[in-house]
Amino acid sequence: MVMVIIGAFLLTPAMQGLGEAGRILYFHVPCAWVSTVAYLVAAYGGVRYLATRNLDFDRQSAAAAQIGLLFTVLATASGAVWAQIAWGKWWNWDPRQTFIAMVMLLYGAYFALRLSIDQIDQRAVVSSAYVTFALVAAVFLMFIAIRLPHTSTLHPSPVLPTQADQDEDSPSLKGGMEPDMRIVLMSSLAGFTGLAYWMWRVQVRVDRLAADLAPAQEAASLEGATTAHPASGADA
Amino acid sequence: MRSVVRGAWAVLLKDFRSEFRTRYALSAIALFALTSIAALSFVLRGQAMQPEESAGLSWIIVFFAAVTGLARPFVQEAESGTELLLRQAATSEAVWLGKFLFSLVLMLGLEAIIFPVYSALMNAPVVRVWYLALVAALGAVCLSAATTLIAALVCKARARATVFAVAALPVMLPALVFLVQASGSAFGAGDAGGESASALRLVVSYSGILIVLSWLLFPLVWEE
Amino acid sequence: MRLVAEGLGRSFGARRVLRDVSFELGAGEVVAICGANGSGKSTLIRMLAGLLMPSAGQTWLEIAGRWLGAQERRSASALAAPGIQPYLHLSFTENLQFFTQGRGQSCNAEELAELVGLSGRQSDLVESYSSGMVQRVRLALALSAEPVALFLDEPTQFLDASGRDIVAEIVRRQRLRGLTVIATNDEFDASLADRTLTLTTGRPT
Repeated sequence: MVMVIIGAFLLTPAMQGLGEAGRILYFHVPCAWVSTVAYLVAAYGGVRYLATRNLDFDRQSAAAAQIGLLFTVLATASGAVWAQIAWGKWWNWDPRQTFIAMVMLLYGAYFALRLSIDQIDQRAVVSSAYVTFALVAAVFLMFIAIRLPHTSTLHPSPVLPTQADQDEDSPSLKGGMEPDMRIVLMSSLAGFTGLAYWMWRVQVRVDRLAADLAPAQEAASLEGATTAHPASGADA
Repeated sequence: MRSVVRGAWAVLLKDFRSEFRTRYALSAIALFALTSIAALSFVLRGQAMQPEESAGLSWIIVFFAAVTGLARPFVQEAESGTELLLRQAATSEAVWLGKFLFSLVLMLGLEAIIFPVYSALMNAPVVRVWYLALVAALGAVCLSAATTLIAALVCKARARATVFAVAALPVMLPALVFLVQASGSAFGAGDAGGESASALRLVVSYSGILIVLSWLLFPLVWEE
Repeated sequence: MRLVAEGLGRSFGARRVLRDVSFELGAGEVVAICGANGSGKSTLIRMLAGLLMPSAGQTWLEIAGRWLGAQERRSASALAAPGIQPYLHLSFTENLQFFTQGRGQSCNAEELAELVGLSGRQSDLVESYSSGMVQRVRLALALSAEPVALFLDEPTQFLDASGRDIVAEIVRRQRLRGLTVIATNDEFDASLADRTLTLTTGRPT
């Protein structure tokens, strides 16, 4: 996995000369991709928590949402740089820019909600439900609302960059992709995914260790839980 | 299903009774809305606005009024310690439906106050009244669907009113965008390429998704 | 008719308030759950009434040889507890109407008002009641559901001598209809029960 990351980072700069300003593509697209996957993982963890009430799923879900938000911010920032170069403005209310801002608000609110609840299992229930709600709103924005005929976007279709619409304003994508560009993009995607996966694993492990420590401290301060002691002939 | 409707009816009736005695929710949000409209009209002093601007400002008032008032149906239960009584009295499906309908009626009442007053004070004539009524009704459904689950969620949080605003607004924002697009033509904007119709379709589909999802998630949150 | 608890436990977050509670209760029986403050009496009685999910173990209610599902179980049970408030802006009668209507039952508010000693006040808003009267409303609400399994948490809290007699009368009547669980530290309450289950802090003894 580490090899993939190093490989992607070493390979990418080597190919940068090809795409002029479009070189940022190798960062922008993987960031958007990683955040989409992370939000899916977060919602999956949320649903699994609600079904099983196993706190580990909540930790996985929260860690994924955190990474999703981080990469959304990175995608927005790199997108803004690209927009400045390609369209001459940092922010020009392209529908995809508008909607990604809303997605950031959604997941920002998720963390605000998490922070406002002290009790662990209630926090888990509430954030699991909210993260599922947020995913649906985000998917609705980024994949359904964006396809409306009148919401004309300057972005190419995100699903298959190789068949991207020919777009006057993004020279890097004119005429589809060169094979070597595609190789770099794919390896960058793999690298970013690997990096995000590694970050997610670390975060989950940290949370798990913290959770393991908490009851130990609790037990030290409290004698123990209550147990039933049947008296006067209870058939226990 | 009949037991759900019966339970929801009981919840709705109870909420209306309490509401008519105290007028907490409606008076608070109606006054909030009227104050905002007054503030806006002082600032703009009856300047003529583009139809799209009129539509946008009116919906923003509806949204913020909703955010101040729609947490009430659930937060009230949590604050007065009646949650366990409610949980014994009705199934979670019935509670959801009852609270959803209560929010819906509140929203419709609110919009019935906001839009006429807004139109009069802001010098923003409504060209297609019935069309605006339709968009407003669909908007009320969408906002109630978005807030019912969030209100149940924030009951478990500290600083409920603030957290409700923070958590509910992002979920409501997509609806705001589509509703503004859809109602532009009601204030007299030209409708190029059926923009209103497709925005309205989005409002309907977004509401549908929110209703289904909130219906599915609510029992998991409501039961402890 | 049987109420069974097996290895019942509950944690709130990292804090475990109850563990390994097992007992069985049959028709006509009355059991008192006693224990120090914070020993988990209220948590236990909520789980038994089907209003709180156990985090360990299980509990069942059996009627006429059939184990009830979660929904049926809840409509066969009713809990009156200090943490359950009636609606302040509704009257006694309206509270009862709401409660029974939601459960798909009907009730005779007049008769219940008489039983709990609130006749003449049933049209007043609960807002104007004293804490002892609110406690009587809680009891009336639980009774209005005509539950097979009746759960009373601190039933005589705030009550005067006549109120205690009412609780005794309620428990006497419930013996004919089903079973009763009382969570309490009050000697009078415990004397209404056939047997006592004591919750002790610490390890099993």
